Amino acid sequence: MSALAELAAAYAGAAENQQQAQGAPAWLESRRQAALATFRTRGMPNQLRREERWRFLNLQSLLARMYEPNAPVTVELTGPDAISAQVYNIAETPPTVEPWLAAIATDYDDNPFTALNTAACQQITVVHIPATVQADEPVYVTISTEADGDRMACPRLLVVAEAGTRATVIERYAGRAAVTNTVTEVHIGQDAQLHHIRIQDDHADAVHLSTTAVRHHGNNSTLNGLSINLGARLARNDINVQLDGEQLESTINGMYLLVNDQVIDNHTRIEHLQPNSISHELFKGVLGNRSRAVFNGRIYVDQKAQKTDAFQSNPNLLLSDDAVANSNPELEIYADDVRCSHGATYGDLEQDALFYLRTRGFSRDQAEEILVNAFLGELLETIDIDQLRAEMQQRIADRMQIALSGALTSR
Amino acid sequence: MLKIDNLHASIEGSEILHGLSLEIKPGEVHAIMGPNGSGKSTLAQVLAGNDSYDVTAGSVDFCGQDLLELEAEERAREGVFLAFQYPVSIPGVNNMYFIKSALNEIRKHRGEPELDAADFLKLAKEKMEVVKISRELLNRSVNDGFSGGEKKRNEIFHMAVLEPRLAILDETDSGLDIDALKIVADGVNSLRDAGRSFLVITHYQRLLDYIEPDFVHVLVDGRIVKSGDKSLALELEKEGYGWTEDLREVS
Repeated sequence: MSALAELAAAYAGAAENQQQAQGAPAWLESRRQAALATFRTRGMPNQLRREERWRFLNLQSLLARMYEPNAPVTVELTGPDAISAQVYNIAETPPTVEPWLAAIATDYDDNPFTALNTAACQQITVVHIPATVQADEPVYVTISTEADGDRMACPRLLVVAEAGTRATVIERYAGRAAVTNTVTEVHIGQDAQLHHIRIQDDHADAVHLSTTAVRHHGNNSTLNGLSINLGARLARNDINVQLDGEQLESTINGMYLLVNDQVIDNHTRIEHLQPNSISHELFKGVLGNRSRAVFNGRIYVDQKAQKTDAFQSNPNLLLSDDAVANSNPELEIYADDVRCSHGATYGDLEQDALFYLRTRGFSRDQAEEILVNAFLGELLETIDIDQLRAEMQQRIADRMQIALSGALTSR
Repeated sequence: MLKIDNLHASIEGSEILHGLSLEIKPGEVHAIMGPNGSGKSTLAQVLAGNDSYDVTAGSVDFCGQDLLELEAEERAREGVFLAFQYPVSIPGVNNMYFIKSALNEIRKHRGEPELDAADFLKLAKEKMEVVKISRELLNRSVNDGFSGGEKKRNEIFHMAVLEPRLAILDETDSGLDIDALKIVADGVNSLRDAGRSFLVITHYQRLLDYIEPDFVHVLVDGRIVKSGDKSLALELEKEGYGWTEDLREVS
């Protein structure tokens, strides 16, 4: 058996033990076993076989050893009374979530870590927005782990926005465990408006693996998603949105500010299955020092999905000569009356703009910071919670200091 | 205030300024005129500290300091201001916030307390009057989507707020119609005082009808070939730059 196969077998064994120790309602138990079975046959991402979906990401350090997938997860929940937000041990999973839990994020072949999470997770967090509830106050789901060099945390979140709702859910990671392997499933019902902000701010030595799977099905509904990536030494985010309704508007935005040797890999997959919907993706990256970013954006337009309007863009700002960004659009379009556009750019800060700022009295570092803030500002401004936006701006300013101090030595 | 002596400067290995000398005393307005490609904008960029240019010989003294030793931002904080021929637009940076931060950087350098929002607004209102710039332009991103005239007026507004000791205007008149030109000139004139000097770079004499220079210099091939009072500008207007062709061949 190869080392990789042994590793997969070890993970599968650990997940199986956890399943047996905990138990779950029958419907969930069978889904967990199915996930485990797929995981066993599929195995870990094999980079020797150059799997397309994993080829830009060096997983060597992650795959060198096993991390017991049972690191304790602490979930803090705050939000308005009208929205129910609760953590359940897997054995106490309520029957009401059966239509969605382990039923939306099921692309186990694409991402075996999703299967591993389904098989091994020990508790689930459910945010349920009952039909017609309109809430101004956001729900905060803060997921943290203790420092633990040996274990993998498997947080699991389900967000259900029922018909006619309006809500904001902020999913925030502050992980210190060696590996966080998290899965979030989102259901959006008819006429619902969901604002989903995901903040990944794990420890600088951590690995962050995530799948966000959205079933955007209810007619006339809106998803406004923003994925902010600040932490972790290696982060892989899979964001899969299935638009299976009409007059849907899905905004799937992301930003990352990388320093030192950070690596991020964002894989998005937007599937248009019905006519007359819009998807809009903007992923903006700032790369300092020796960091590296991958963006893979797949757009699938079914032959039924006429009048689809899909836009994708991935501009990157490189602050250092040693930083690298790869961008890879994948368009698969079977309808003939669609608008679909994509673009990626890589650039340094504009020398003209830097000089202009300096002639007004700003130092080079200040000028770079001003230009980076302006670049990311477009996305930060979409956060309509003042306190959170200010906090993110501060985090970005802190990280810019690292990028700039490192950039000086690498220049 | 400014003493340029035998300045040689090049960009990407080709020399543009071939030994330029010029002295400006406090309160004086000097105009530099010259044909395209004579080095007018290079002079402006070199004085403002654009490090794409290499100074290969010569010296520049600014109020007793070696200007060439200073970084661009240090020059700005010491009171050198460049109004750009092509002001850069910076989407996402609010013009008002931008110029307030810039002023506070300069005030910090001078050892003066920073202005808070209310004090700055008061100052900005005064200066807006002077350069006839609308509040709306200040609420937008720096130069983003501004017309040519609005950009130039915004440069003069920046100058009015920052109150430099030496203001360099690089072809501020280019692309302006006569009304815009008058507004810009009025702004400059209102800032003239005994302690502030101007270096006005222009291709055409027209601007000098409104900003009256104390001295006019003709720049040809990276060197000042003729200096005089404002009548020299009129002479140039009449004769054009054709006569400078001979000088170019000699050099």
